[in-house]
Amino acid sequence: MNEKEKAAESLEVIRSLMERATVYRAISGPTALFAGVLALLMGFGGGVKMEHLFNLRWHQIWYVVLGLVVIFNTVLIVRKSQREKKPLFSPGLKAACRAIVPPLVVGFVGGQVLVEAELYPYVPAVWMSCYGLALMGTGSFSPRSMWNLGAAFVMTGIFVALFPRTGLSLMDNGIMGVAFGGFHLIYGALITLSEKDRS
Amino acid sequence: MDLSKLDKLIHEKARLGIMSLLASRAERWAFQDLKGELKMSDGNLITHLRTLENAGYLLSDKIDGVGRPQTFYELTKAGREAFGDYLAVLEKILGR
Repeated sequence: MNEKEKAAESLEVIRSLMERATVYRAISGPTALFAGVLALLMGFGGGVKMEHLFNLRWHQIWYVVLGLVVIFNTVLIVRKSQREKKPLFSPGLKAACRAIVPPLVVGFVGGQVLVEAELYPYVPAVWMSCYGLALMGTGSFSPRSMWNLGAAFVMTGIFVALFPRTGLSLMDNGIMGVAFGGFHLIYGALITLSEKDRS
Repeated sequence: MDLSKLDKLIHEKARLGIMSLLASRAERWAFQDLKGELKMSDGNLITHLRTLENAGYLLSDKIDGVGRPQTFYELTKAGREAFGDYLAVLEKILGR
């Protein structure tokens, strides 16, 4: 190994350690793909079927989707911490929770208020905007792609708020499917491919 | 420019790891977090931390609270400068 290779190796050690210490990806590739597939299924057909099958209201279907994705992501985080023999509540996870939870709580409460007022066309707008803000809030310690994903949700949320749909359950499901399904699938596929390239 | 110009104190795998982590954040690092990130034994990590502390590159602060006492570490101004110089030499070797 010549001097240049040794220097490059040292820089790579420094870069990977600093990145591991400062960069935290709150949504992994597998979680994004899982969320994307689930949202697409619910957005285009599955949601309406579940409404009839389980006698759930429109917005409750999406609470179920959120719950399943949170459980999936939690299992992955726990397994990762066990595999790497690191504490579950790492500094990165704590920072991510501090950034993500407040906008999500606001989105949940705001959405619920709109549901009670039967202003259904505006519910996806609030959910998308708050979810997008939550992801953008992790911008100072997460990869750029996470911020971009958040920005896509915020812009879509604003668009939906300015041009609300008819209020029909089917249309709102479609919007949810396109945003939460499509964006997550694109993001998940991109980061899974880029991580494969790097490894 | 060659590798002999590098600070020998930093240019050791374990100590390079410690310096990189301490330089990565403005906040202090707890001993347990450093240990978890670098996957080193207590004894080995303490030895390297002492070497860097004796060189004036880092400061330690032991906190005796209600629970287990914790020791926190942070880079000194001299430590940050030495790490910056180390990186500059590496980049010169690579011709950047």
